[in-house]
Amino acid sequence: MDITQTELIILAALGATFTWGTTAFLSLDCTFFVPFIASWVLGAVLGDYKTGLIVGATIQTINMAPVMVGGMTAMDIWGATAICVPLVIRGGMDLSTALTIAAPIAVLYNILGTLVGVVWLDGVCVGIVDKFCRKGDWKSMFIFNTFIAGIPKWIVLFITCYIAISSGSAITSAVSSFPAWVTMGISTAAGLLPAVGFALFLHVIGNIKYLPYFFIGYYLVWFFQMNNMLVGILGVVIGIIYLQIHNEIEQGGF
Amino acid sequence: MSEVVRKKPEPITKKDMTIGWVMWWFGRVCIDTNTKKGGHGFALGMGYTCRNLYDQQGLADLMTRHDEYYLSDYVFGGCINGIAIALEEQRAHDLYEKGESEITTQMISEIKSGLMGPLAGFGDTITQTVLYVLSVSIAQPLAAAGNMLSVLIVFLTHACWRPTVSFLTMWPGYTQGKTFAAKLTSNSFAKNVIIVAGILAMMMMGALTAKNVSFNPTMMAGASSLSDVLDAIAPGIRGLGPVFIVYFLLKKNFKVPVIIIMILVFGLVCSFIGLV
Repeated sequence: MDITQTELIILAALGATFTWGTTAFLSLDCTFFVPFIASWVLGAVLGDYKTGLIVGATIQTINMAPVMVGGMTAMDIWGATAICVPLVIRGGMDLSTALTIAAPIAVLYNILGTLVGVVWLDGVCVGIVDKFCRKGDWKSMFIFNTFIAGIPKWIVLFITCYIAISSGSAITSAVSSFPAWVTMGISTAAGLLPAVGFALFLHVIGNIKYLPYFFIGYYLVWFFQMNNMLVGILGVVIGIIYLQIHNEIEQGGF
Repeated sequence: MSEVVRKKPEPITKKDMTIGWVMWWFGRVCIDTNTKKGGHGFALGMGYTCRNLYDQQGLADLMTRHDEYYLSDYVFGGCINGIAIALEEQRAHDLYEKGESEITTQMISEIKSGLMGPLAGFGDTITQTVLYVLSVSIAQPLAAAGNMLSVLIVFLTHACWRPTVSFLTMWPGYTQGKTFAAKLTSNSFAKNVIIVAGILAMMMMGALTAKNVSFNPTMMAGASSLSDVLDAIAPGIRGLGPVFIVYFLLKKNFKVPVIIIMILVFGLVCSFIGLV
């Protein structure tokens, strides 16, 4: 994989920056936590923002629920994005393989992030911040909270991203030497992995009372190959009809 | 507990509240501990805004009592900051003028924790179901087609919406207090929007499932492939089946990593025995 040292450092730094809890100002309040926004920037660094966007959109499908629900993450898809974008753009890896690689990386990254959180934040930071509070020292607390608390996680992510991206050519050549049945198995898994994303959505955030509408949306696209915007318009219309009936029943109109 | 306040409380200016909000908004992200969640950032914002109300010891007490467990929706939860500032200001003036205040520290803490739940319920629904899911479900297909509009949509719903609303809800929280929070969460228009958006989000997710999830067994079963047979006997099962199997595994408390490994193994096994 043909990638210069400068690009490698920039990519690893951006990958670490676009992760929850490392930098407050640069993440533009969760904007860069959406995988295809991060991958758009990473792609631009490598001179192909469009492919970057597509890679991110594919990785997004393994977790369609918001990343932070009740303060917990299911998987860290940001780190996976940082590693997969160069693999696709420079390594020439295809999207389904990238997605299959991204899923276990996202899980590993989440474990890593949780470990750093428990050791550093809960083990060390709570004591330091409480001490600032007891002194009423808001200046030191501001500097600590905003600039220092995120650094250990940033460093850990930077190092892991750096190692993973620089071993990219080893990954791509290993993947290309897989026997045909393994490649086929990977692409089958890639077709099924988005099921995790949508199931997470249903489990974590979706209102299961509205499940029938999920089926309507599914069959409109599966059977009629309907355009997404059209599904959206129909969704609003059906929602308003539901609301009208709901309100009429409440007022005893029926 | 009688507190002697020697310093005359200075009025809280708009600048104090603005800078305190900025400190809270950015300070809460990096130090999101499991023990106190957003509490550290809250204490920081309160500490800055109320720094002129007490002497150094009073300020330290104030920051220590706000450095407690705090987890809410921070977007609409901006009004909790406003309410807390108003209460602290009132308390400081009472203590200075009368030596005692009917606003006890316990009362401030109770009001805060009492509002945390309802605002999290209300705000999380709007911010996460409505805005996050809708923006991502509209932007993801655009991004998958390489369209730059997706970036703009996410930028508007994250970078613009979240801080702006949080900042704007702080002021009515400060001037109107608890009544504003009650008005906000019982707003009938917002409730209607939540219902419509919940339905819309479900439909969009169904549509995206059809586009993204697929299981294509190509093994021949008689004259036609297994995929065609499945489509004939159970239309849509090839996409819906995997989603609901994973959904029930999640319900049974299977962990996401385990499910991902199961899917990888399943794919390899299917390929090995020639199912795909």
